[in-house]
Amino acid sequence: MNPQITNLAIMLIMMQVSRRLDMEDPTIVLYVRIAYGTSVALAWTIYQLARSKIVKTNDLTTLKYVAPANAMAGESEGKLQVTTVRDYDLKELDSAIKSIYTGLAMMGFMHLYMKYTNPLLMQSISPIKSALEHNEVKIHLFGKPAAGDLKRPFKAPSMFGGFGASPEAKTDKKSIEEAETAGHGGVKSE
Amino acid sequence: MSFLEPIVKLSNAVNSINEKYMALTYQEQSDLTIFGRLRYYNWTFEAWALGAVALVYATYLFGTRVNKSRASQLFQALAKGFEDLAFAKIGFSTNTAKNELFVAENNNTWFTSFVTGRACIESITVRAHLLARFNPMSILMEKVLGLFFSSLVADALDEFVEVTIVPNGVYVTSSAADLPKETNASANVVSKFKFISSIVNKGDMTKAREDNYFLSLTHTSESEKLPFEYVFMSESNQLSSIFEHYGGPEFKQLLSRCAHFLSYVAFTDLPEEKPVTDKLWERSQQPRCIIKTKMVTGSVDLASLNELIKAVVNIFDSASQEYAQNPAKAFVTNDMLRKSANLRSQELAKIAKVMKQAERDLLQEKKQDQEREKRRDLRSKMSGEEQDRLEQKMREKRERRQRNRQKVRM
Repeated sequence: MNPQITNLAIMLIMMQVSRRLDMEDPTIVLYVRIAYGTSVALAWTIYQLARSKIVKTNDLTTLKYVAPANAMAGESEGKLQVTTVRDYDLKELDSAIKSIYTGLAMMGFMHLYMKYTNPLLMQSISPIKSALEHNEVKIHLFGKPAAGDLKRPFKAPSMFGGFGASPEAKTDKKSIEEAETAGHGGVKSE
Repeated sequence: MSFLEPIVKLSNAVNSINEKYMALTYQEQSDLTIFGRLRYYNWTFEAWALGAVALVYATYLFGTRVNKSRASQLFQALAKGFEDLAFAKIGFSTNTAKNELFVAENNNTWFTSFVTGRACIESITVRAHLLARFNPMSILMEKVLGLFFSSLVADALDEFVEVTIVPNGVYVTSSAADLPKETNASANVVSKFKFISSIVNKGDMTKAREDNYFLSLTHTSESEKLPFEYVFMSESNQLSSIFEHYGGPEFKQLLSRCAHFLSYVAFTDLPEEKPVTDKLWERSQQPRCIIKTKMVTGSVDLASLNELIKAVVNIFDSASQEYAQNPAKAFVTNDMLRKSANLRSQELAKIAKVMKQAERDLLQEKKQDQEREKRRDLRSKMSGEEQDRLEQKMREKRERRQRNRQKVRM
């Protein structure tokens, strides 16, 4: 099943659970904190395990693709990325680890400053679920082959199938060759 | 506001330090001698403030000195290599008899050294960039900011060494030999280095291509001729073999030893920064070899860097000798150079096209501005009735156009 749909389902279930809990009770708050903390710690450990496996494997096979243009950065054309499998995997994992830190900061603000406990409960499953569903974890910890959906560069997941999906990276020979000698390098920002 | 509470508390705490002194009346203060006032006043806050200033100054001294000592280690090691290569002038002249081996700029974050005076090589420029260790807070801020907004952070956190070796095409058979009489000959030899061929570390491929215009014109290819940590980035596959041809198998071993600090070795004549006009294109072409590495420390790595510089100088020596004595034997053939020249003319044509388009846009904009100005002038000279009539006419014209457009669509 699409991970984003299951995320939504879990969120709805957790909302119902949180309505049945007394969030004013310090014991329940403590258990919710422990659940959230454990989930985040486990997710972080899973990513670190995958990271150490990537570093140990040290796959320096060259990976070329044309990343889709970033409209937010004012780009009109895709950018050629020439990297190695190792660096690509580490980049993907680092962004996942970064999202854990961002989540922690958000939850810290909501719970410690705004004194909400509900978001903590609702977010106590998704970090570990995201970690287990991460492509790098599937490849490096579960030993799945890097083919099909797990072929690098990974496709951005979309909630409604093809509709609304972000543009994919181009990996065909023609696009790569065109981007490779386009001379887009050395443009100094003002 | 609640978020200002800690600041208010701190400010109150600071003020309360001298509550006793401030509570003194004017008469009581006047009765105290200067020494008495100094003793009565609580100097804790001032002591902390002075301590903070001293800490900032100590950090500044420490940071600048660490950078200078690292740079000294680097440039002294390189100077030995330059002496082995028999350069006549190493470093910069000063008012005193002693030469300055390198110059430091921007609070000891940028260092530059220069050597010249040798056959086949016009000059070698070494530039090193080190972290601003004198300001740890800015390093921390940049790192934290870079974690979340990588595009916003400048490259101030990169520590690197860049060695640029420029050939002069003057080949002499021995140190006592006369310089060649033909002045064109050396220019002819230098023109044979107008190509792009480079070896790039796999860990720096995207960044090297993004930062260097000349690398963004090349194909990336893996090869068994290289250690597995590197790829070739060359204009054509034939040109990639220049390293093996002149450097021999030892060059591959040397590259392996340098893998943990070397970013790229590139022969090029095109600039790092993309030229935007044809004049800039003409001005920025210079055949050279660039060696870019991470900051190198430690005697083993410095020795490897020296060997790498010597190997590149040796490539220039061997190639210049071939062009001067036996051009038919030279590795880079006229056919390869013709292909390179083709690429350059195509790139120049691209630049000219962009320039023309920009000029056209500018002209169009100017024309529109003039027309707008003309219309405004005309309207200001008209009476109220005439203005109304003109507006009516314009409105009708707009409506007619809109109707016609709708008809075409239908």
